[in-house]
Amino acid sequence: MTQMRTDKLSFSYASRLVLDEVSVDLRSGEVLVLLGANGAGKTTLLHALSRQLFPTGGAVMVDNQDLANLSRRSIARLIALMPQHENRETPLRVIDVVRMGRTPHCGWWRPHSSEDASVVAESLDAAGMTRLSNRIVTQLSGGEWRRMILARALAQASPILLLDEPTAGLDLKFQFDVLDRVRRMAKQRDLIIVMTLHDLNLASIFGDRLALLSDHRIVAMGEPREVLTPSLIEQVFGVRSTVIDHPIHGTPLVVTLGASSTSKSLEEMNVRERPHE
Amino acid sequence: MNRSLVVIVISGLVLIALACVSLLVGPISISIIDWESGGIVRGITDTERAIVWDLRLPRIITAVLVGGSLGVSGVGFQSLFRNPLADPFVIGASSGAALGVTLAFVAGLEIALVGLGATALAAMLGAILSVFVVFVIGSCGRDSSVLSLLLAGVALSSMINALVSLLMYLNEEKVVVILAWLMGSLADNDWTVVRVTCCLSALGFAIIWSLSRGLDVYSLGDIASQSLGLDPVRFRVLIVLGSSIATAAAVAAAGIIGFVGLIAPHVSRALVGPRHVILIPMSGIVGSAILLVADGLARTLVAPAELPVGIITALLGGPFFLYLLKSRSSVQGMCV
Repeated sequence: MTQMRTDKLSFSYASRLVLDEVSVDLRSGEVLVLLGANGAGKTTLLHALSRQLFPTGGAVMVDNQDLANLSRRSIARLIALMPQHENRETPLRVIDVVRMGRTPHCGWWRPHSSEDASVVAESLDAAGMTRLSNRIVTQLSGGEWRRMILARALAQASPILLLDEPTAGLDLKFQFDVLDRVRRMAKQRDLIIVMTLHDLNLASIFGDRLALLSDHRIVAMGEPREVLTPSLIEQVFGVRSTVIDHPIHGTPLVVTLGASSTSKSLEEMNVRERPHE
Repeated sequence: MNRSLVVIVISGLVLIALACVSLLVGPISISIIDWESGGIVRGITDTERAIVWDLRLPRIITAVLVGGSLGVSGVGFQSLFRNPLADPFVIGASSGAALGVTLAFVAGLEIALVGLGATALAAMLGAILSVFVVFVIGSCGRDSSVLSLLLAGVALSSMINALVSLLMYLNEEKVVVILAWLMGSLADNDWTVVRVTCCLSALGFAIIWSLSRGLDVYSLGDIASQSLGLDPVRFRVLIVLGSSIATAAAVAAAGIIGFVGLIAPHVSRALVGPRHVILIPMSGIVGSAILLVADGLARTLVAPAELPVGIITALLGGPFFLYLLKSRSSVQGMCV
């Protein structure tokens, strides 16, 4: 059972504050989805959690070890990050990229063992990429590429998986496919999964807990029903909405009604028009 | 992998064949076959043995080592900058070497160390020092980026080139010898130079080749490589170290020879793909082959006189590189 928590984690780019004393507590087997408007600090929080960025305050603790005291390789054995972007130009084969997930375990010189090979094969299978393992990376579609990066992150065999917008640029089928695989893996392998999403309804279906980021802080965190309320959505996203029950999943389903500012101006227009009636 | 191994073995055999042909080619043509007596194999005379053993063999081995070093360090620098236009001289190695040699000529230095003369030592020292300065300036702060290294290299190179021009302007009588060195040459290399170049080349190659798996990971970008357990800032130090040693070996033995370090990695990538464990030795072989051919041409085109080999590599390399860019296939694998 792995535990991860942050203690008043802060981060600034030069003088611009991005995270202000963010504290989260994560449990094995759960999926936490980070939600927030553009620039709210979701990706920065993921990068601070994996020490891609060095926090300007606070600490990230995994099993009571401060990540600041661990080597880059030790961190990679604990935390796998699926980045939103990376160089996709190198014409390596899919299996070569997924094998890179074993680097934290093999180092630079040790040849891959049969155990490494079986972990790579399992990871390819879990991400549905076995059939494409000999395909050249530059020939993959956006969805296939994301599943390959997911397979590489799984090959790291780390207990914590951080996914930065895993569904960005994917069509509906692939969005459900990727998130369904991620959720099943969290349960089967007892992983801690933290991911950023923009779609509130996908977050509601696939997240065990949601965290809403606004003004550099987490303004609400809890089960989807506690977090996805019209007032919080309006506060964080500036959008009016109503929340109903999903007819199949029974999870909260957010129906947006329009941007708050637009709605207000319409009301104002009505008010102004009435005297002329 | 199997196909790549076959390609590398065939290329190795081609390189050996080229080296054998180079032994027999030059202002004095040597043939081991007596055509006048019906094509039988004959022995060689003592004079021919002296030409082959004392002049051509050290020169050819030096060409193989220098070309190989340039090819290997080319892969190193292109990987470091994740840019196909980088070459061994991009972060100031050539301008540093040029300044070192110019200073040595101007000061009339006549020292020798482990068999290397004053100019070779000055070139090596200049190349390593300038790369070191660029690296220190470009790596200031924890968040040092590849771009800041590149910019520091460009800035320092411009400054050093201006200094070299100033020194040449103030010492007109030395201009010819300095220019001759700057254009690169493999002439006058003896077995001592071969031994020193061999040690330095082997060290540079060993460092860069040992980083192969890390270089594959590093090619994905800083965020991906960090998440896979690689510290890109420290890793860059190792790439620069290995590549600079290989470059210094080449510069000390042959002066500044352009284009080999740029072209060899491109040709190799097209032949064996982007995985560094194969790409690095392949680039070494291709670099050696290019320089052997260029040196053969330099020795024979205007025989008994000789052209600077740097001119041949630039004349042949430029159009060939343009052809490669047009075909694009070799550029795959690097962000342009």
